[in-house]
Amino acid sequence: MNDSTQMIFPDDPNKTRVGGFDPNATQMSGGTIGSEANRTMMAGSQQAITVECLVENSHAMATENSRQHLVARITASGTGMGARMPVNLCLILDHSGSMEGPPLDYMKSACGYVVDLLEPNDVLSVVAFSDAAQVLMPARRVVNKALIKEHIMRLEVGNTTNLFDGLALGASQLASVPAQGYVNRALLFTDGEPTAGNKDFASIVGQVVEQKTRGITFTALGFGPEYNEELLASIAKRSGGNYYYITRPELIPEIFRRELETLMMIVARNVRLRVQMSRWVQVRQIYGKLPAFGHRSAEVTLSDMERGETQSAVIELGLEPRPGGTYRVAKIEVSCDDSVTGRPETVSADAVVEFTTDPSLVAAGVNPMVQREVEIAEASKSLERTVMGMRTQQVSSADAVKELERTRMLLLDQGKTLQAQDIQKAIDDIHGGAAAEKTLMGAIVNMDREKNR
Amino acid sequence: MNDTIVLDPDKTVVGDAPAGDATQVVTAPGYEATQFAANIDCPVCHTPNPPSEMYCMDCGFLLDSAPVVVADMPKPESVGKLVSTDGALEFPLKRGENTVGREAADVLLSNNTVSRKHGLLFVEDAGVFIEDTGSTNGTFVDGIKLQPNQRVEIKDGSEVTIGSVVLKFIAPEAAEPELQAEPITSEPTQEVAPEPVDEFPADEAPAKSEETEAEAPEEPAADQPAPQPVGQLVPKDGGAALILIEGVNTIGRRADANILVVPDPYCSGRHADLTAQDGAFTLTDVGSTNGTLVNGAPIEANVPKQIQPGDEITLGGPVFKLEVSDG
Repeated sequence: MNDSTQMIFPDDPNKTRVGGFDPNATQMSGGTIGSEANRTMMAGSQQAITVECLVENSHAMATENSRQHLVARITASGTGMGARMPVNLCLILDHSGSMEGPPLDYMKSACGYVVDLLEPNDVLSVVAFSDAAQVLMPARRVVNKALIKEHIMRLEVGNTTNLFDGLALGASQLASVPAQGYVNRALLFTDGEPTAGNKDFASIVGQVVEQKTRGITFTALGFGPEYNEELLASIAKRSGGNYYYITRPELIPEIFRRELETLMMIVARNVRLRVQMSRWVQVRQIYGKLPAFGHRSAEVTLSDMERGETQSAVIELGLEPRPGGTYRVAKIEVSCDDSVTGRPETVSADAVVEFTTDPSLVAAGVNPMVQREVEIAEASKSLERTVMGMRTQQVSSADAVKELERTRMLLLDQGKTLQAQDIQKAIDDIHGGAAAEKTLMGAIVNMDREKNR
Repeated sequence: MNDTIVLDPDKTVVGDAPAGDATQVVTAPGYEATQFAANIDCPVCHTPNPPSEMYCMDCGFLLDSAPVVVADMPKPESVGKLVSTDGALEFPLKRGENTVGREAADVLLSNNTVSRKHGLLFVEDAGVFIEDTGSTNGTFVDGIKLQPNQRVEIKDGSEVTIGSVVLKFIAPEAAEPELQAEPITSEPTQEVAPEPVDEFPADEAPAKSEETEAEAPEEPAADQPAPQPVGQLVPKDGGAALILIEGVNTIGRRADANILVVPDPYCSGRHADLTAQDGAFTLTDVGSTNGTLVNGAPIEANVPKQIQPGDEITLGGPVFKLEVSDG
């Protein structure tokens, strides 16, 4: 037993991993009940994620062009894996002039907190940026915690905000550690707009997208009223990480802790969804994403997934007329790296629609659950417009509250209580005169995710 | 006693068990299945599919079922489409007004340089027109920027730039040969095989496949009374001739849409019609991509052209000679 454990988790000496060999039979892929000889392979093939695909309507008219939505729902495995995977973490810290005083102090203590939570198997690096970026501590195992904290405590305020160089340096620290056997994550903490180096929004997001192709994920933590929530949300979204808005300095340690806990529960990384279209089918859009289109395919990046988490993608298809019958209009493929075994894995689901000439079948074939998901995706889109409108003061706070209330009800209807809470918080922000855009942006980023906690 | 056998290093004793295992591995069912099963043709689009596929790899049709021929299916009106330069995006247009924009549009472009309501496309009897409805980054037709609310006609091949997205307009006549990109024949290109309906040599074709074919929605000329041949198209570089019958002989690459099938990539899915009537022959190019030549001279699309026995006819790539049957 111990021998086979080591074959599968070569990097981890932790014996509690044996728990991973107690797979629930119903959770297993393929359902192939193999012989004794196959048992080791089966354990290895236990899936980190599953995908199901729901069509808006089981029927479509064979004689005319039609449109239809799909919901792809991806669920991360919820089974206990024993000990967690070691993390390769880089803290990318803004120490520009505006951080002076309590923000910097709280940030340092938050970093100390992170160091305390890490274990000797974990790797940590620290990068700081103001006018330029510097490595405060190169990537190394968290053995001497006191020494690491000492490094962080030496940090002093600078002047401007060179975000671009900070991201690049942080990514290079993560990349200096072999990816195998670690969950990597860059934690970007900033309180302002980029003011030095490459300040271009598109270049910064472009860099993040490029780093993502190397398997590096950024979580963006925005502090205070000055940072650009649109930029930070894009960084998080395009790399599959999280976005947080930290209102007060004393909350910094708490948010750092929350992110670290999230990180320690990650079971699937580099999650990508690909829609493979059949003939006479077009993907019109994937809500809230920018798909990369290929020959009869559309592909998007999804968030890294925690144990038990569910996220969904809403896809709109255009369907052309054809001879009547049952067709797979699209195949949904979701690939990820299982962060426990470190192996790539792909799961798929079919979107099947029957094409008919009978309009009553089409009228009866509606799946209301999918329609509600579409409503929420539309609501998320209109929230984005509201955020823009609030920033340019084209949307009054009364109108914003009205729309937020509507969205909140929709979310509650669908049982998305966490997201509804985010919206409620934004409403409270508006009433309290605070910058609700930043809270709202978090609601938008998390709209398609359901954490099972 | 048992212990000694288990621990015995003697190969002849221990050897029996692994030998049995090895046999099991070789006869694993999956292995044999791949060895003996043959491809299944999709009854809808005729794409050969490996037997492991449940749905057609091309059109997605459920291979186990039979398609329902929709008798009153209106001939899907193709009024042209916009395609991206890399071919990945395709927007079939509808008659009347088509909205263009980043949100809730008919031509939906998820790109930040495209305005939410960017412009309109009108498909009318008089032609296809495009209009910019006051977009931020503008609309261009063949490089010329449109004034807001200025209507400009677009023709087959027109390059339409929406913000920074470049699309090409493909008019309905030419819309068909898009299928050209697909692998349609196992024959080497350039070579003309006159009977492409058979994807398999007769002796290899499994019974199941033949059943499936029989259920095909329109199997051209399969069960019609055998018409008298009135002439033939003889491939210039050898191969079997295409037999012409009285009336319209549809010609093209697609087996499901033509009476005479030319499985050559240069020949369009629907390429031309050759009409034989009382000893006279007319040839009409129905909007092929690579055109139709008579004695080396291109003929105009959709205009019937009188042809004579002995004429040389080029259908995209392959060249044929028209011969008339005696009596």
